[in-house]
Amino acid sequence: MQIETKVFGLVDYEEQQILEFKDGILGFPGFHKYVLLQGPQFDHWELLQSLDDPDLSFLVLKADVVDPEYKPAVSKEDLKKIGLEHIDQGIVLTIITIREGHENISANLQGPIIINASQKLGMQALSNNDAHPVRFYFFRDQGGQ
Amino acid sequence: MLVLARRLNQSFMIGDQIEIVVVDIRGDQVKLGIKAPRDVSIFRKEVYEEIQKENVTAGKQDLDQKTLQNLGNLFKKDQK
Repeated sequence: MQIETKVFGLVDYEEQQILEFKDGILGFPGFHKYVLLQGPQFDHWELLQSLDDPDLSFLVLKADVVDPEYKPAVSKEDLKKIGLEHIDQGIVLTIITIREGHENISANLQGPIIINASQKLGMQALSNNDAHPVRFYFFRDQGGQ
Repeated sequence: MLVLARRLNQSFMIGDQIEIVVVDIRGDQVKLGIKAPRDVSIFRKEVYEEIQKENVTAGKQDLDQKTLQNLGNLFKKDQK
C-alpha cells in the first residue's frame, strides 16, 4: 500500500504497520489510522503519519531520548483502552513542535503517545503529573547539565 | 446539562464511586474535592484544550527536508 505524504512524498507501507487510534489524537478525533515512518536522515526522529489525511503528521521522538527519567503518569483505565496492563509494556513517544531556533523546539510530555505494538493500538494519553508540561524545551533544559 | 445547587460541604455522586464535595467557596472561586477510584483520570479542562492546541500546531507544521536535516544534525550533536 502507498500513501502520498507531505514530508516523505510517496511512501510504501504494509498492512501490519497500521496503528489504530480508537479515540484519535486530541484536536483530530476523526482520524484513527496512523503509521510510524522512519526518516532517512536522522536516527531518533520518526513520523506518525495519518492515513486518513496525508497533510497530518506528527514528528515524534521516543520519550527516553527526550528525557531518560520521564515516565508518564497514565491511569490504568486509560492504558486498558489499548490493551496494556502497565506503561512499561508500551512504546512511549512524545510529539515534537518545531519553532524557530533549536532552543524553542519542544516535546509534549503532558500528552504522550502510547503504542501497544503487538495489538497495533495507539492513543494519546494524559500524564497526571505537574512536572510534565505541554512544552518541554529539551535542548534548552539539557543545556545546563 | 444537569445543574445542581449545592452548599458548602454538600456533595453529589457520579455513579456509585465518584463523589464531588464543595470544600470551599470564596468570591468567584469554588474548591471541589473529588473522591474517585485511583484509576479514574481527572484533569482540568484547560489541560485538554492546551494539548489540543499544541497538537494542531505540531500536526500541521511544515516539515521540509532542510528542517528535518537540521534537526537530525542538532540531535546528533546533542547526544554525547
